[in-house]
Amino acid sequence: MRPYQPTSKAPERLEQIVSYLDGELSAEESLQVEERLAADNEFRQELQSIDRAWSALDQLPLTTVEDRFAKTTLEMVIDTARREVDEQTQAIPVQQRRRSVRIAVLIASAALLSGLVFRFGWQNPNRALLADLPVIQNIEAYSQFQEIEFLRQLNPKQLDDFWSAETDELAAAVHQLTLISSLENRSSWLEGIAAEERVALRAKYNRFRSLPETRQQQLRQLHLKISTAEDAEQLRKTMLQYQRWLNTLPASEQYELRELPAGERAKRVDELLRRQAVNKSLDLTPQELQTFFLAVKPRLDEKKQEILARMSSHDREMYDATSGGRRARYLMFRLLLESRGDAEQLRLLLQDAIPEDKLQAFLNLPPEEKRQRFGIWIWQAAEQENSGRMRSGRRSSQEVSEKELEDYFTEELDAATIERLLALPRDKMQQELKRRYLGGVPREDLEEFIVRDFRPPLGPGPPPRPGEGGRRGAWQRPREFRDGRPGPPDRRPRELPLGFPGPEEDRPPPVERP
Amino acid sequence: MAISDSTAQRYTAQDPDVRLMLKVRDDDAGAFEELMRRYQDRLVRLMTHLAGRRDMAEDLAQETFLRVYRSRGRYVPGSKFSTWLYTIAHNVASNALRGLARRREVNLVRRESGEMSGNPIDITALEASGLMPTRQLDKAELREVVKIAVAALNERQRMAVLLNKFEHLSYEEIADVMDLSPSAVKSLLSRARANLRDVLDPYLQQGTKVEVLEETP
Repeated sequence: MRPYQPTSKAPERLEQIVSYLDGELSAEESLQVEERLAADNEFRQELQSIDRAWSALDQLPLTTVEDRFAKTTLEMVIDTARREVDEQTQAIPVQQRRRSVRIAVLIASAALLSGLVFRFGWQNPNRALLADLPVIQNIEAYSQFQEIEFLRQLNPKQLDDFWSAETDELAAAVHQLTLISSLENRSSWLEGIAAEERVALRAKYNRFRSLPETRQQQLRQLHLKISTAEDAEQLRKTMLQYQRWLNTLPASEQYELRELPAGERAKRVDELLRRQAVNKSLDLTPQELQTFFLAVKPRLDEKKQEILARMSSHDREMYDATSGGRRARYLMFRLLLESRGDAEQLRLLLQDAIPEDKLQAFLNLPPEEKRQRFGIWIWQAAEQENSGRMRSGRRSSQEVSEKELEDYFTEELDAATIERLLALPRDKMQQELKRRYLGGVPREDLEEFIVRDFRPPLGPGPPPRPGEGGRRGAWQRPREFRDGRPGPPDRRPRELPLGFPGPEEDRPPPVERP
Repeated sequence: MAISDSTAQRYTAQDPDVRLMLKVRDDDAGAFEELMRRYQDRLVRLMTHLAGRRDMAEDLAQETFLRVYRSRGRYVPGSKFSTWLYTIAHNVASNALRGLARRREVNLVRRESGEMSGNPIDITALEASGLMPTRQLDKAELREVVKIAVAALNERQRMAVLLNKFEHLSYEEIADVMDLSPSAVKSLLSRARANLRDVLDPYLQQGTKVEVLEETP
């Protein structure tokens, strides 16, 4: 047996042939090769044999890897990403000088990790859900801003003051977000939630999935920036407070805020919160409301005569056809409108009607807010007078059963009120429902009234969102849209139980139609 | 070597895979998955021919993708994406194969028709041929012979051949991948093609068998 010797006696000729076949020769060199091919039989045969062998390589089978390959490769990459995140997390405290760089790397790794887990889990909804769980569970909150700097621009004290009554619920939400921000806790958290919460979560998941990929990525980035920030805990709290506060605003105002640039939005939020804080300090107790009512009543009576004297016969007919409560409130508003801007008149009117500290705070309000506040007092006073009768017919809140409340909810409330109640957190909704059942003053009605009658018109609000219908039993659920969004309270103008004329119009109260 | 902005811009404009990789650099998970799916078959085929075993080839391909992922932060487009990817693949394969026990070396031995070599592939070839020197090789048989011919090349020749034949890399690009000069690649490929011709041409022309003998280490 003799060893086979590959061709090696003419390496230059071989290189020339191979380069020619590979198209690596210049035009001139190619021409030389072609001339030789025409003249030299052995040269031609050698070229043909090399070309045949090269073509035979096409017989090698194509390789197609199985799905398993992609799956295990992505799993390995996810593990790598996770290790990167862990390493970077550990490195941050000891490398303060390069903190921003480290955090950027950490965010980037975690973003890819999250993205990969999400994509990889595409065929497994639970995996996909777990990958983005913090964002999905809080999608409404994460959707309200684009940069975490916005959260830092908000005043935590103002938000704390606003949510003082909701501390427990908020603390629980912050705790939950912190918990599920860690990958390790997500599975166990998911296993532990009630079926009802699971359904709500699934709706949010579907909403997240329906977003464009770029938007999903933005939300993930936002979450990761918050999670890796030094002030992560405060940012989470601020974000959740902000979202809850936002949901108390009329839809049009939410829309308006979302449209503002971040800096201006923060200023606007600050202004609104300040106004709300002032308004809160101006709330009157039931006793103070009664005093207020009694104090303004004589002036009201005077006003009544003046107004009636000026009325046309047609207006007078309408006025006479209106119920007593409406007449009273109409007159009170006429009184307010004619006093507006005149601090001295208001002082004289109110000096014995409300406590001095509240009077001073009231007089310091800008004219627009002064009118709003006065309107609230009037409304509350009138409602209190009305509700006194209702209270006498019903028992104390301690005695109200869930069955009674449910019957009241399903049988007595109009659709708009139901929708508005469903927009509230469950505990707050039950509280409000009880108050209504017992004849208390519904704050939302006041706000609605103020929006409708005392505020300059805003631009068109967002398009109406599909709401979750259903009456019986629905009151026990937090209101959410089918795609998982909590809907804003419905503040669209509607017929109030007792109507009012607009502030600028000198017209008698509307007559109820049968 | 620093890569100029104009080079980076040129490759970014010309090569969609470069643009995908830039997205991976910016932590776009979808882009990474897309790149992986585009190259996984080709990379596994390359590694299969380099390593000779499918399971090991998949491991090496996965390691290559992992290195791509780990390198994403430092990625600057200084070449076509495929050139960059195969440079990583070449390093991965070289390290892995160097780490193995000394690879079996093969010699090519021409045998006269009718002589049984004892090698299973050769036996198959003979049985299929029906001892007819000029018979047409069927596809399955030819495939086996081509596999043997490729396996008979040394590692560097094999790499150059695979990159040139299946990945359509130019001499210059292969030079980048293998850290050689273009003229060295030219020489490498010439020798590789001559070796392939020497193994395959007897089959293709006459049905002459070439025995693959294991050399005792």
